Amino acid sequence: MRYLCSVAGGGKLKSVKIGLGELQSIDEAVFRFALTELMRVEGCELSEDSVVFVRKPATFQCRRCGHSWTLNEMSLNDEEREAIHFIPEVVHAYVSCPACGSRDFDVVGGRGVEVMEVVVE
Amino acid sequence: MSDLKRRDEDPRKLLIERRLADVNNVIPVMSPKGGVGKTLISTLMALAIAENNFSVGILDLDVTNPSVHVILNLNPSVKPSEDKGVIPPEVHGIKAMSIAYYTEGKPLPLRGSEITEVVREILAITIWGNLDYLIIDTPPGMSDVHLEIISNVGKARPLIVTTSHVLSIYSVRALLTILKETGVPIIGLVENMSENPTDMVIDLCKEFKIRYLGNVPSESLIALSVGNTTLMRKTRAYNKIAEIIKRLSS
Repeated sequence: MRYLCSVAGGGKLKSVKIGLGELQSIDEAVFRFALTELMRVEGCELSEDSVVFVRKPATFQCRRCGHSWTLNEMSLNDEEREAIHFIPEVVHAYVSCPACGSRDFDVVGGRGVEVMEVVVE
Repeated sequence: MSDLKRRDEDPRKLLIERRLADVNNVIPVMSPKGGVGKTLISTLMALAIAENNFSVGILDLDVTNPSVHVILNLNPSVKPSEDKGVIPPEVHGIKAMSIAYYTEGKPLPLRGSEITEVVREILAITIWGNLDYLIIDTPPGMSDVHLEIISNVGKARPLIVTTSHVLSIYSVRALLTILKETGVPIIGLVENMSENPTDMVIDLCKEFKIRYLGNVPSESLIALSVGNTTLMRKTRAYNKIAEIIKRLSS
């Protein structure tokens, strides 16, 4: 948010594109509202409909056998998803490689929140 | 815009400072050697601090092998509540935070960079509020968790634990060297599992100009008291830790 304000320089942003990692399980509406309100408090302007979200799917690659897969292929219940939302690395407690069973895998994509593009008015 | 600058800055670092702003004393309990009793000393310290009517939290940063929740017998169904962050549940007068709340007892093998992520995430999301003391239990070794604390928790004043065994002293010497080199203030050293103070340990403290806080005896009752804080408070180890806490807080 501070970064966006620094780009806006106290003015208005035309649009912002934000990447949301699937592992974060972020509610877009809540995030959009919080971001625009906090920017307003900081003296910058960004309308809610100018915020575009890009969902980044969670993808994994096994360090043991090299197999790649996505979170969609796994069945996780709501509690497990919520635990991963708080601390994404706990995905290693709930997910293992579908090919070899190893929990030693890389989270290749789908973690964190990233500002992908900012357009100043 | 400076993409490079943006990507180099982890906003969690700023958040960590804010989360710990109202914590007066942050004490990571450290020892490179495993099995010297860091977790037990951490937990006994938190219990003794609470008993003395100070506000205290305990943070288990042994993230791949957490066990503070076992010693404190935390109810696994009790989860941290959420309000602009995570609020640790309070047990026995201690605010207790652990990754165990989120793993349901399942194994959590992690690589180094993932451990760094977990440590930053936990420090960034946990709301401690006003605390007199925050005790941090750390894993053995001198790796990601310790370096994260040294680099990102400016208030940290580690307490070192060793036994009188020559290998433990050898390992602690390396840790003390690192801490001294980086200018991290050390609150002192506890000699665990010793009936009496040992010359080698006292000499080590003199060499590094740190306080020898005391020796904690080994006893079978302490093993039996895991999960039973009432019994734990009856141990000689607890009484010795309570004495140390009184000295530290006076």
